[in-house]
Amino acid sequence: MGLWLVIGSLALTALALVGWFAARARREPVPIMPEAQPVTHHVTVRPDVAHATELRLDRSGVMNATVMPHPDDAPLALLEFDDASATVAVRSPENVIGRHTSVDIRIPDVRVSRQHATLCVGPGGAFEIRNLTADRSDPNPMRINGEHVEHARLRDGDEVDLGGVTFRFKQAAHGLRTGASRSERHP
Amino acid sequence: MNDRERTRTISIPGAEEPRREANMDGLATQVITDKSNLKVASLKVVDGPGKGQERPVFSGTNQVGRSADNRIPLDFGDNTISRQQHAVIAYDASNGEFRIFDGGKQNPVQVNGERLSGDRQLSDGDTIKIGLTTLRFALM
Repeated sequence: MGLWLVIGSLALTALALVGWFAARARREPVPIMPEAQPVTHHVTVRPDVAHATELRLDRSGVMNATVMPHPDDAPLALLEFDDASATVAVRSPENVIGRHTSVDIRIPDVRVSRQHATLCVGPGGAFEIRNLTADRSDPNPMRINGEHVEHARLRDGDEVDLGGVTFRFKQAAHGLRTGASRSERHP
Repeated sequence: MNDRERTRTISIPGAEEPRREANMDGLATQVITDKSNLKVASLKVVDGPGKGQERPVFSGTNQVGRSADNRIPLDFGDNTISRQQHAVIAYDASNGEFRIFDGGKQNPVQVNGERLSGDRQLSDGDTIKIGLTTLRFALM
Protein backbone atom coordinates (compact mmCIF):
# COMPACT_ATOMS: atom_id res chain seq x y z
CA MET A 1 0.00 0.00 0.00
CA GLY A 2 2.80 2.40 1.05
CA LEU A 3 4.77 1.46 -2.05
CA TRP A 4 1.81 2.42 -4.32
CA LEU A 5 1.54 5.78 -2.56
CA VAL A 6 5.24 6.52 -3.23
CA ILE A 7 4.93 5.44 -6.89
CA GLY A 8 1.77 7.56 -7.32
CA SER A 9 3.32 10.69 -5.77
CA LEU A 10 6.45 10.24 -7.92
CA ALA A 11 4.29 9.93 -11.06
CA LEU A 12 2.34 13.08 -10.07
CA THR A 13 5.58 14.97 -9.46
CA ALA A 14 6.91 13.84 -12.85
CA LEU A 15 3.66 14.95 -14.55
CA ALA A 16 3.77 18.31 -12.76
CA LEU A 17 7.40 18.79 -13.82
CA VAL A 18 6.60 17.91 -17.46
CA GLY A 19 3.66 20.33 -17.39
CA TRP A 20 5.78 23.06 -15.86
CA PHE A 21 8.51 22.62 -18.44
CA ALA A 22 5.92 22.57 -21.22
CA ALA A 23 4.35 25.78 -19.92
CA ARG A 24 7.79 27.36 -19.60
CA ALA A 25 8.68 26.32 -23.13
CA ARG A 26 5.47 27.91 -24.40
CA ARG A 27 6.19 31.16 -22.59
CA GLU A 28 9.84 31.40 -23.63
CA PRO A 29 10.59 29.44 -26.77
CA VAL A 30 14.15 28.25 -26.89
CA PRO A 31 15.91 30.36 -29.51
CA ILE A 32 17.28 28.43 -32.46
CA MET A 33 19.79 31.18 -33.28
CA PRO A 34 20.50 34.02 -30.92
CA GLU A 35 19.13 37.29 -32.31
CA ALA A 36 21.80 39.87 -33.07
CA GLN A 37 21.38 42.88 -30.90
CA PRO A 38 22.28 46.21 -32.47
CA VAL A 39 25.54 47.38 -31.00
CA THR A 40 25.79 51.08 -30.57
CA HIS A 41 29.24 52.60 -30.46
CA HIS A 42 29.30 56.20 -29.39
CA VAL A 43 32.12 58.05 -31.01
CA THR A 44 33.51 61.39 -30.04
CA VAL A 45 34.01 63.78 -32.90
CA ARG A 46 35.47 67.23 -32.56
CA PRO A 47 32.50 69.64 -32.44
CA ASP A 48 34.00 71.86 -35.13
CA VAL A 49 34.31 68.91 -37.52
CA ALA A 50 31.01 67.03 -37.47
CA HIS A 51 28.40 65.75 -35.12
CA ALA A 52 28.29 61.96 -35.31
CA THR A 53 25.25 60.63 -33.50
CA GLU A 54 25.96 56.90 -33.49
CA LEU A 55 27.55 53.99 -35.32
CA ARG A 56 25.36 50.89 -35.46
CA LEU A 57 26.35 47.33 -36.37
CA ASP A 58 23.37 45.40 -37.73
CA ARG A 59 23.01 41.57 -37.95
CA SER A 60 24.62 41.30 -41.38
CA GLY A 61 27.66 43.21 -40.17
CA VAL A 62 26.91 46.44 -42.00
CA MET A 63 27.98 49.50 -40.14
CA ASN A 64 25.73 52.51 -40.41
CA ALA A 65 27.21 55.81 -39.46
CA THR A 66 24.84 58.69 -39.11
CA VAL A 67 26.42 62.09 -39.35
CA MET A 68 24.01 64.86 -38.59
CA PRO A 69 24.66 68.53 -39.15
CA HIS A 70 24.51 70.08 -35.74
CA PRO A 71 22.49 73.30 -35.69
CA ASP A 72 24.96 75.28 -33.62
CA ASP A 73 28.55 74.12 -33.67
CA ALA A 74 29.24 71.57 -36.40
CA PRO A 75 29.86 73.02 -39.86
CA LEU A 76 30.09 70.52 -42.72
CA ALA A 77 32.46 72.78 -44.61
CA LEU A 78 34.01 76.21 -44.41
CA LEU A 79 34.24 78.89 -47.05
CA GLU A 80 37.20 81.18 -46.48
CA PHE A 81 36.93 84.58 -48.14
CA ASP A 82 40.16 86.48 -48.79
CA ASP A 83 38.75 89.93 -49.50
CA ALA A 84 36.48 90.25 -46.51
CA SER A 85 38.83 88.04 -44.41
CA ALA A 86 35.72 86.18 -43.29
CA THR A 87 34.91 82.49 -42.94
CA VAL A 88 31.42 81.15 -43.58
CA ALA A 89 30.37 77.87 -41.99
CA VAL A 90 28.29 75.55 -44.19
CA ARG A 91 25.88 73.70 -41.91
CA SER A 92 23.31 72.33 -44.32
CA PRO A 93 23.85 69.65 -47.01
CA GLU A 94 21.90 71.83 -49.48
CA ASN A 95 22.66 75.52 -49.94
CA VAL A 96 22.10 78.32 -52.43
CA ILE A 97 24.93 80.84 -52.67
CA GLY A 98 24.07 84.33 -53.89
CA ARG A 99 23.54 88.01 -53.20
CA HIS A 100 19.81 87.95 -52.43
CA THR A 101 18.79 88.23 -48.77
CA SER A 102 16.75 85.01 -49.04
CA VAL A 103 19.63 82.65 -49.92
CA ASP A 104 21.43 80.32 -47.50
CA ILE A 105 24.97 81.66 -48.02
CA ARG A 106 24.83 85.35 -48.76
CA ILE A 107 27.65 87.24 -50.51
CA PRO A 108 26.67 90.92 -50.43
CA ASP A 109 28.62 91.92 -53.54
CA VAL A 110 26.98 93.17 -56.75
CA ARG A 111 29.32 91.01 -58.89
CA VAL A 112 27.61 87.92 -57.44
CA SER A 113 24.21 86.98 -58.90
CA ARG A 114 21.16 86.95 -56.68
CA GLN A 115 21.04 83.13 -56.90
CA HIS A 116 24.46 82.28 -58.25
CA ALA A 117 25.24 78.66 -57.37
CA THR A 118 24.09 75.65 -55.42
CA LEU A 119 26.38 73.91 -52.95
CA CYS A 120 24.97 70.45 -52.22
CA VAL A 121 26.23 67.12 -50.96
CA GLY A 122 26.26 64.79 -53.96
CA PRO A 123 25.65 61.03 -54.10
CA GLY A 124 29.35 60.37 -53.42
CA GLY A 125 29.17 62.27 -50.15
CA ALA A 126 31.26 65.20 -51.33
CA PHE A 127 30.07 68.76 -51.85
CA GLU A 128 29.24 69.71 -55.43
CA ILE A 129 28.89 73.23 -56.78
CA ARG A 130 26.70 74.13 -59.76
CA ASN A 131 26.40 77.49 -61.53
CA LEU A 132 22.72 78.51 -61.57
CA THR A 133 23.32 81.29 -64.12
CA ALA A 134 24.82 78.95 -66.74
CA ASP A 135 21.62 78.80 -68.84
CA ARG A 136 21.09 82.56 -68.96
CA SER A 137 21.82 84.78 -71.95
CA ASP A 138 24.46 86.61 -69.86
CA PRO A 139 25.87 83.89 -67.64
CA ASN A 140 27.77 85.06 -64.61
CA PRO A 141 30.99 83.04 -64.62
CA MET A 142 32.15 80.53 -62.04
CA ARG A 143 35.76 79.36 -61.84
CA ILE A 144 37.26 76.52 -59.82
CA ASN A 145 41.04 76.85 -59.38
CA GLY A 146 41.06 79.33 -62.26
CA GLU A 147 39.20 77.04 -64.66
CA HIS A 148 35.85 78.10 -66.08
CA VAL A 149 33.32 75.35 -65.20
CA GLU A 150 29.58 75.12 -64.58
CA HIS A 151 29.59 72.09 -62.29
CA ALA A 152 32.31 70.59 -60.12
CA ARG A 153 32.86 68.25 -57.22
CA LEU A 154 34.77 70.20 -54.62
CA ARG A 155 37.87 68.96 -52.89
CA ASP A 156 39.46 70.41 -49.78
CA GLY A 157 41.36 73.58 -50.61
CA ASP A 158 39.67 74.30 -53.96
CA GLU A 159 39.43 77.97 -54.87
CA VAL A 160 36.01 79.07 -56.10
CA ASP A 161 35.46 82.33 -57.98
CA LEU A 162 31.91 83.65 -58.36
CA GLY A 163 31.83 86.72 -60.61
CA GLY A 164 35.18 87.89 -59.22
CA VAL A 165 34.56 87.10 -55.53
CA THR A 166 36.87 84.30 -54.42
CA PHE A 167 36.74 81.88 -51.53
CA ARG A 168 38.54 78.70 -50.56
CA PHE A 169 36.51 75.56 -49.88
CA LYS A 170 37.51 73.67 -46.74
CA GLN A 171 36.01 70.26 -46.08
CA ALA A 172 35.38 70.16 -42.34
CA ALA A 173 34.67 66.45 -41.83
CA HIS A 174 37.70 64.37 -42.74
CA GLY A 175 37.20 60.86 -41.34
CA LEU A 176 33.43 60.87 -41.61
CA ARG A 177 32.07 62.02 -44.90
CA THR A 178 29.27 64.52 -44.72
CA GLY A 179 25.68 63.83 -45.62
CA ALA A 180 22.55 62.37 -44.13
CA SER A 181 23.84 58.79 -43.72
CA ARG A 182 26.04 56.19 -45.32
CA SER A 183 26.66 52.47 -45.08
CA GLU A 184 29.85 50.52 -45.51
CA ARG A 185 30.96 46.93 -45.07
CA HIS A 186 32.38 46.39 -41.62
CA PRO A 187 35.81 44.67 -41.73
CA MET B 1 49.98 97.76 -50.43
CA ASN B 2 46.79 99.69 -50.91
CA ASP B 3 44.66 96.55 -51.22
CA ARG B 4 45.86 94.85 -48.03
CA GLU B 5 45.57 97.92 -45.81
CA ARG B 6 42.59 98.00 -43.48
CA THR B 7 40.04 100.76 -43.96
CA ARG B 8 40.52 103.66 -41.56
CA THR B 9 37.38 104.84 -39.77
CA ILE B 10 36.87 108.59 -39.59
CA SER B 11 34.38 110.54 -37.53
CA ILE B 12 31.90 112.60 -39.48
CA PRO B 13 29.44 115.02 -37.84
CA GLY B 14 26.14 113.26 -37.29
CA ALA B 15 27.72 109.77 -37.44
CA GLU B 16 25.58 108.58 -34.54
CA GLU B 17 22.40 108.98 -36.62
CA PRO B 18 20.87 105.68 -37.67
CA ARG B 19 21.85 104.62 -41.18
CA ARG B 20 20.24 101.98 -43.33
CA GLU B 21 22.25 99.69 -45.59
CA ALA B 22 20.77 99.68 -49.09
CA ASN B 23 18.70 96.69 -50.10
CA MET B 24 20.31 95.52 -53.34
CA ASP B 25 17.99 92.55 -53.93
CA GLY B 26 16.33 94.26 -56.89
CA LEU B 27 19.58 95.48 -58.42
CA ALA B 28 20.86 93.86 -61.62
CA THR B 29 24.14 91.98 -61.17
CA GLN B 30 27.34 93.66 -62.33
CA VAL B 31 28.27 91.33 -65.16
CA ILE B 32 30.71 93.04 -67.49
CA THR B 33 29.73 92.44 -71.10
CA ASP B 34 30.05 94.48 -74.32
CA LYS B 35 26.57 95.89 -73.72
CA SER B 36 27.50 97.19 -70.27
CA ASN B 37 30.78 98.80 -71.42
CA LEU B 38 28.91 101.91 -72.51
CA LYS B 39 30.07 105.02 -70.59
CA VAL B 40 27.05 107.00 -69.43
CA ALA B 41 28.44 109.41 -66.82
CA SER B 42 31.63 110.37 -65.02
CA LEU B 43 32.88 111.02 -61.52
CA LYS B 44 35.49 113.73 -61.08
CA VAL B 45 37.54 113.87 -57.88
CA VAL B 46 37.20 117.48 -56.68
CA ASP B 47 38.72 117.04 -53.22
CA GLY B 48 40.90 114.50 -51.44
CA PRO B 49 44.09 112.53 -52.24
CA GLY B 50 43.05 111.81 -55.83
CA LYS B 51 42.04 115.40 -56.72
CA GLY B 52 41.86 115.98 -60.47
CA GLN B 53 41.31 112.33 -61.44
CA GLU B 54 38.24 111.11 -63.28
CA ARG B 55 36.42 107.76 -63.44
CA PRO B 56 33.78 106.70 -65.97
CA VAL B 57 30.36 105.38 -64.87
CA PHE B 58 29.12 102.52 -67.07
CA SER B 59 25.67 101.33 -68.01
CA GLY B 60 24.28 98.83 -65.51
CA THR B 61 25.65 98.26 -62.00
CA ASN B 62 28.92 99.90 -60.91
CA GLN B 63 30.73 98.95 -57.74
CA VAL B 64 32.65 101.81 -56.09
CA GLY B 65 35.61 100.93 -53.86
CA ARG B 66 39.32 101.36 -53.14
CA SER B 67 40.39 98.07 -54.73
CA ALA B 68 41.43 98.10 -58.39
CA ASP B 69 38.92 95.36 -59.32
CA ASN B 70 35.92 97.61 -58.66
CA ARG B 71 34.11 98.92 -61.72
CA ILE B 72 34.72 102.42 -60.36
CA PRO B 73 38.10 102.08 -58.61
CA LEU B 74 38.98 104.95 -56.27
CA ASP B 75 42.55 103.65 -56.04
CA PHE B 76 44.53 106.77 -55.25
CA GLY B 77 45.50 106.10 -51.65
CA ASP B 78 42.44 107.21 -49.67
CA ASN B 79 42.30 104.40 -47.11
CA THR B 80 39.07 105.73 -45.60
CA ILE B 81 37.31 104.21 -48.63
CA SER B 82 36.44 100.52 -48.22
CA ARG B 83 38.13 98.04 -50.57
CA GLN B 84 34.94 96.52 -51.95
CA GLN B 85 31.55 98.07 -52.64
CA HIS B 86 31.62 101.17 -50.47
CA ALA B 87 28.78 102.38 -52.69
CA VAL B 88 27.04 101.23 -55.85
CA ILE B 89 25.94 103.48 -58.71
CA ALA B 90 23.37 101.93 -61.05
CA TYR B 91 22.16 103.25 -64.38
CA ASP B 92 18.81 101.99 -65.55
CA ALA B 93 18.77 102.27 -69.36
CA SER B 94 14.97 101.79 -69.50
CA ASN B 95 14.24 105.11 -67.74
CA GLY B 96 17.66 106.81 -67.88
CA GLU B 97 17.79 107.06 -64.09
CA PHE B 98 20.87 106.91 -61.87
CA ARG B 99 20.69 105.66 -58.31
CA ILE B 100 23.33 105.44 -55.59
CA PHE B 101 23.24 102.68 -52.96
CA ASP B 102 24.98 102.70 -49.58
CA GLY B 103 27.28 99.68 -49.26
CA GLY B 104 26.90 99.70 -45.47
CA LYS B 105 30.61 100.16 -44.81
CA GLN B 106 32.30 101.76 -41.79
CA ASN B 107 32.45 105.30 -43.18
CA PRO B 108 29.14 106.72 -44.37
CA VAL B 109 28.48 108.13 -47.85
CA GLN B 110 27.16 111.68 -48.24
CA VAL B 111 25.29 113.10 -51.22
CA ASN B 112 25.13 116.92 -51.38
CA GLY B 113 26.13 117.03 -47.69
CA GLU B 114 23.32 114.66 -46.64
CA ARG B 115 24.09 111.26 -45.21
CA LEU B 116 23.02 108.48 -47.54
CA SER B 117 20.70 105.93 -45.94
CA GLY B 118 19.55 103.12 -48.19
CA ASP B 119 19.52 104.49 -51.72
CA ARG B 120 18.61 107.68 -53.58
CA GLN B 121 18.48 109.14 -57.07
CA LEU B 122 21.54 110.89 -58.53
CA SER B 123 21.29 113.96 -60.73
CA ASP B 124 23.82 115.84 -62.85
CA GLY B 125 26.14 117.98 -60.71
CA ASP B 126 25.55 116.12 -57.41
CA THR B 127 28.52 115.83 -55.06
CA ILE B 128 29.30 112.50 -53.43
CA LYS B 129 31.58 112.27 -50.41
CA ILE B 130 33.12 108.87 -49.62
CA GLY B 131 35.65 108.89 -46.81
CA LEU B 132 37.93 111.91 -47.39
CA THR B 133 37.21 112.00 -51.13
CA THR B 134 34.66 114.30 -52.75
CA LEU B 135 33.39 113.43 -56.23
CA ARG B 136 31.26 115.39 -58.67
CA PHE B 137 28.78 113.40 -60.71
CA ALA B 138 28.39 114.56 -64.33
CA LEU B 139 26.31 113.11 -67.15
CA MET B 140 28.01 112.30 -70.46
